[in-house]
Formats: sequence, structure tokens, C-alpha cells
Amino acid sequence: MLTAKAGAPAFLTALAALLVLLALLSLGVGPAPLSPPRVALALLGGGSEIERTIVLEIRAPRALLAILIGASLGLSGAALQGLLRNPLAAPSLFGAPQAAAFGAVCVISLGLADVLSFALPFAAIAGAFLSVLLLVLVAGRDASLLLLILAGLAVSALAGAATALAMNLAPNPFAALEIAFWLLGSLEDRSFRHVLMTLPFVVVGAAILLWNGSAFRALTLGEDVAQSVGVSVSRLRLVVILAVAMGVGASVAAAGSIGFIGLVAPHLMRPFVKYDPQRLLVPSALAGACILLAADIFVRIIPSSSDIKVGVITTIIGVPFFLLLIARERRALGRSLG
Amino acid sequence: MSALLAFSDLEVSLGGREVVRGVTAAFDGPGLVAVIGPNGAGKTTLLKALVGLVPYRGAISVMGGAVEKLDARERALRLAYLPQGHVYHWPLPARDIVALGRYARGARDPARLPAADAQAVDAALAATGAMQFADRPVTELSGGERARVALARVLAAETPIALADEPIASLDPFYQLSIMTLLKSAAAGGKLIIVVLHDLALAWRFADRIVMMRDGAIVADGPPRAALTDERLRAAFGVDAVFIEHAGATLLARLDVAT
Repeated sequence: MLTAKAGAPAFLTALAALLVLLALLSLGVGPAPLSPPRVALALLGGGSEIERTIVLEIRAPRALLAILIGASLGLSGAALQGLLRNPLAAPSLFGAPQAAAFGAVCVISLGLADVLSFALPFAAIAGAFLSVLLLVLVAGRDASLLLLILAGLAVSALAGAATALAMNLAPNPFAALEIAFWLLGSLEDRSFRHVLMTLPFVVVGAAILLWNGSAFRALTLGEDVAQSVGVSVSRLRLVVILAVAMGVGASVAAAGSIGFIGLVAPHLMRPFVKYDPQRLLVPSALAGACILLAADIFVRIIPSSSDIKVGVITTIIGVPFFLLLIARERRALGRSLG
Repeated sequence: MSALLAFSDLEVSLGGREVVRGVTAAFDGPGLVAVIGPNGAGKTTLLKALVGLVPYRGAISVMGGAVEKLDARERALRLAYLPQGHVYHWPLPARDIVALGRYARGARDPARLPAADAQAVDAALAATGAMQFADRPVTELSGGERARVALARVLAAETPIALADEPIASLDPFYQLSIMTLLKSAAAGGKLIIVVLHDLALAWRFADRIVMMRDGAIVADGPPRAALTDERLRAAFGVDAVFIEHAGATLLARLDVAT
């Protein structure tokens, strides 16, 4: 928001350019490959009718969702890291996607609503909100890294078990299988209906986080000083958790569980903004969108007998990255043990 | 006219233990006030209660307004707070940390400070001798440098009241003296500065008024000569003080463990 003003750093422009390029690629990749110029032509209303249908009706929702969800996850990760003053904070480590999935699975398996109803994102947002709230309450103020991660582990285990229970109680095995695949996280076969179900929550959540961005910089000095310079810390905490829950919940409702973008994107961007927690927000959103678009392109071009889900790819890349971060933060972890 | 800062029957309990027990004091005008007392006397908790960081019973009024009726921003405009220890979670440049002193005034972006705010930040950096490392990441600074950045942030706020919890704890003698001189001149310039000190000689030398605490109560409150009497020093700290006359001034020259 602030960094995008005139004189935006070159890296922001480069990120935006990368995003456009990846979006064009994403629109071109699939069983009927189209080159970026043909994609651009189809977008502008040219090309054959089939090309226009493929690009605008089949692939555009998928690419748009990747951008919305990736941006939302990247931004949510950066905001949580700012709120908790901790580079290892991320929605997926706190069980937020798992809890969102539980909320959504309850709605599906209990037959309360079909998968295209707005009840789904609301249930997922409620799940995500409760999980992050629980985590912050359990870990308490000025929580150490170790405490946050332990509490996050417990919350995600609980959410996972609750989801398994809901699948256990699913009305028929096909429903359970459908849920299991959906949990893996995928952008396949998504329509503009999904985009519509995601967009308002992602936009409102992002607006809230960007609006509160400067408070994250004040939190650099800890909660007491932030409060003393004029930040209402308890209000901020609630508002940020709500906004993160909106983004993560709506994302999970549309595409299942896609993990670790909230951890990876802010980490990659942090050196470019000199560790400033407010300036980190917009680049993290752009980077998150790029990462998810790239991962979603990757799952479509790797030769494989069955579809690889994009959520599986982001986790397979994200977890080793997380391990690397833990190794680098070892000293901080040791301190919080002592 | 109402006091700059006043509290009455102030009680604070932390974890079921009463840390501050019904203290009352009023600070009518500017000046340098030293809060002294042995470890665990409740000095830090008293300061935290005055900033609204811990729940309390009793009444606190800041410039005539009950503190609980002020929102975080209104309170921040009247009263700046420097806690013990200096926590920096991200390696921001020292200047950006000092600029957080202007947060309540709406200067939220350190890269685009309005002229008045930038001027206050520069003045505070210059006053604390922090200008030469203003652009370095604060986490890479020495303990003494960090302490000066932290104090600069409080000065930059330009509030009528400033509360500082052991601001000179990690400083060498040169900076201890220069910071105390700085606080003294800020007080002379019209601010009420309340500072927790462990160094009784510095409190004796610089403070206009000394508040002595022990076991959560205020046991002495007045000008240094009235507050730092032999009996009180012995009762609160278990030390005996030796005062000497030097160049026309009375100095607290030495402390001995009371026998």
C-alpha cells in the first residue's frame, strides 16, 4: 500500500512483472498448450473461440484463485510474523488451515450445504479464527518461539483429529474420499463461482492487515512499548487474527489446504525491505501469489500418471524450508528453552 | 490547577501478590523525580500501572484526565514510557526506532516523516549522541548505544511527562552522566520526568525530588535532603551513607552495608 507509491523499489516492479508473466504462463499451460502471445490475444478478445473458452472460462478462474489465495497466504504470514514478532510464525504452523478445513468438512460431511455455498467459507473462517485465537490465548503475551510452535502443533493435531472424525462420520465412503482429496489442496476445475466466494473475504482481510501495518513496526519494541506509543495491542491482536482467518478460511474453502506459503513468502522478501514489518506486507502478498502460481504451473507440466495436488507440492517444498529456518533459529530456540 | 500526574490509593497485584500497596503522590509541575528502592520494592510495577500496562485499583490522573478514560493514543500524547531492558525484535535502523516516538502524532511511516516530526527525531538523536549510528540496524548496536536509542525515542515523543525505568543501567560513566544531565535539562525545560534509579549518588545529585519505595509502599517522598536521611537509607536499603562537603556542595560519597 505504502511501498507501491511513486518511486516503488525496483524489486516490487520486478515482482509485479514476474506475477504477470506467471499468470500468462498459467493461462497457457494444460492439455491444450497456448503460448503467452496467444493467451494475451485470447484475453483481449482475439484468437479462436475455443482458445477464448479455454483461457477465459477454464484457466482464468484457476489463475485468479492462485493469485488471490497465494497473495492472501503470503500477506497473512507476514502479518502474523509482525504481530508475534517472530519469523517462524505462519498460519499453517498454527493449525489455521487444518482448523479451517475442519470447519468446511463439517459443513460438507454433515450435509449442511453443498460445496458451492457461501456457508463453506464462513465455516472455514470460523474454524481458522478459533484456532489462531486458541493459539494466541494458550501461548500468551510475549510468547517464545518454542511455546508458539508447541501450541501450534497441538492445535493442528486437534484440528486434524477433528477432521478425521468428521470423515469417519461421513455419510458414505465416496464423500470421505472426496474430502480427503480436497484436503490435499488443489486449484483444478475451479470456476468463477469459487473466485466469487473467495474474493470478498480475501480483499477485506487484506485491507484490514494493510491498514494496521504500521502497528507491526511499533511492535518491534514489544507489546508494552507498542501500547505506550499509542497502539491498542489487544484490539490489534483480535483484528489481525480475524483478518488472517478471513484470508486463510476463504482460501481453504475454495482450494483445500495449501500450506507453507505464509512462511516462505515473507522470509524471501524480508531482506529486500530491510526487515521492516510494515514494508514486508505488500511484497509478501506478491511473492505468495507468484509462488502459488508457479507451483500450480509445475503440477500441470510434470509428467505423472495421476494429478499431483498443488497443496502437496507447496508442503513438500515448504517443510524442508521450515527445517532450514529452524536450524538457523536454533540459538533463539535454545534461549527460549532456557 | 490540576497536577501533571497524580495517583491515589494505587494498588497493583501481580499473580495474587500485592506488589504496590495503596500509594499516593501528586506531581504538580515539571521536574526530575527519582524513584528509588531496593529490588522488588514495586518501582517498575508502579511505572507500568501509570502507563496503563497492568491492572490496578485506585485512581490515576494524567494532566487532569482519569487515565482509564484515555485511549492508547491520547495517553501516548501525554506520557512517554521507557521500559527496563531494550527489546528490539527486528533489525530496524535506529532512526526508525526513534521515529516510533512520533507514532501517536500520526507520523506512522519513518520514510515519510512530516518536517516537524523529522526535526524532533533529529533533535533527539543529537541530544543522546545517537546520530552517528542512526542508520545502523539497532540489533547490531552495543548495549549502551541501544540504551541511547531507546531514550531518544522517548525524547522524540515530546510529551509533557516521561517515565523511564533504569535508563542508564547499561551505560558507562560518561553516558550515565550525560544522560542524567540531559534528563535534568529536559526537566528544567518544562517536562515532568520520573526515572527509576539504582544509583543513590546520582539520584542525590540530579533529582529535584526523590520517591523512596519499599515493599510496595512509598516510605519517603520529598527533596533529596529530606528523603535520603540516615534512618531511611538504613531501613529501606540496609546501607549507611557518608556525605562530604566538596566545592560548596554536599555529595553522597560512599555507601556501606549497615551493621
